[in-house]
Amino acid sequence: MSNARNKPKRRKQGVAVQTLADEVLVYDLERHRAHCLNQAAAVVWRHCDGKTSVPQMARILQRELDAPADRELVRYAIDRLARAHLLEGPPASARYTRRDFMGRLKKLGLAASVMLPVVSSIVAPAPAHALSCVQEGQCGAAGNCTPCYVGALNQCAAKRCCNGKCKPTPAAQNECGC
Amino acid sequence: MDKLDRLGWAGGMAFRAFGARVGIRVNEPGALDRIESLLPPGWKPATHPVVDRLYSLRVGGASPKSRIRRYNLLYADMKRVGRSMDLDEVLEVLASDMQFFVAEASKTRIFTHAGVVGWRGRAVVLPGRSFSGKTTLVAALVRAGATYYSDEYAIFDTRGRVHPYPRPLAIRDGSGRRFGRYAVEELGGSAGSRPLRVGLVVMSEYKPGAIWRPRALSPGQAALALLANTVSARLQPKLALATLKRAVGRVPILMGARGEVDEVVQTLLSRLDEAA
Repeated sequence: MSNARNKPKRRKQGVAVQTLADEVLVYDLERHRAHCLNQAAAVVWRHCDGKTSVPQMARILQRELDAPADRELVRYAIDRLARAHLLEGPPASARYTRRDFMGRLKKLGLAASVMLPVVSSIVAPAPAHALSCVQEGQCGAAGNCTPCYVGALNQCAAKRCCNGKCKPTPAAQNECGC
Repeated sequence: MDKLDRLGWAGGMAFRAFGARVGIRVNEPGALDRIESLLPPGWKPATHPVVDRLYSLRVGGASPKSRIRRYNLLYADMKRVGRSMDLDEVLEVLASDMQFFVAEASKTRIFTHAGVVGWRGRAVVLPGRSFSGKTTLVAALVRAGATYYSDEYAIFDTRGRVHPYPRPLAIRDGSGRRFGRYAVEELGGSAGSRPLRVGLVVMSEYKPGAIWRPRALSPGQAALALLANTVSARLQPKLALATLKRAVGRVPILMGARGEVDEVVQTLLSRLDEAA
């Protein structure tokens, strides 16, 4: 096993980090993606310093969560973190599925919500994405189905962006039609 | 810009709002009176000659010496952003673009697309995109006695408090295809004036027939959801993350589909009363 997998190192360059009570928020400044690491994922990520090995991390995880944790669980967390580009080196291929671990934790009688390392991610919106209504010229940046207007702003309820154009929506209020 | 500068400009004004400086020049001074009513809430006159964005409005209409009718034209810096025979349409574009620019350019506040009301000294923040029923819920909460803060942006300062942005509510007509603007007083409510700490965050989406059974989100997930609606998320990610973390650090966060507003309003207000 390579050192990167056995003693992974978290990214320190190009990320902004905020710690909440149990969770960690990480913003990837290069990819404009934001991630929320739950407690289990955050514990593993904090200890990805290039020096701590997977078995050591398993012991730390067990101590901090006060529940049984093994190497496989740590490797699963590392996989998730690597896929989110939060570790140095190339992203790992997916070896562990969430379903595998849910079943495993269930068998052990452990609360999956606490033990399962979860990395929730979003793509940070471009400014126009966060608008309630855009001009037709902004449709390309805002994406399909964003309310839009061509002339009068009060047409916003009646038109949506569709492939860069601002087009009338179907009769039903909540349909996009694109 | 040179070409635009060479056109005759008869009047202008400059203002500051939430740290952004904006200038507007017009070829007919009379237009400035109408523009003043369109400025973002909380604007203050600026005297500094340098602005972050300059709008140029050419009022068209019929020429007294010929039968030619000229377009009303609006430029944001050098880019034309509005062109219409109807001045009202161009002014609406100006209002919308100015508000968006201020949200994008503010260096001191984080603008998140959300409705906000105040209740017993705490803010209820309702993030969501258009058509999620945000304004409907805000209007219902105001009718139930909440103080109006905004139906468009939750404006967070670096301490995580929400500031008022009480522009008229954009309420859709019965068909849901056009909207009109209503002052909060027309709904029997009043607008807040001081910043509030967040007391509750509610992420709801209107679905006909849905029963309000929200699930609680963790503060991290809530911060992520707010970030997904934040105008300057990409421009100021560090500030946005730090601010949203402070805003939602210890407050309940609910998420779920809702049916009609009446059912939700009382539940939300009771929850806030219990927490107070």
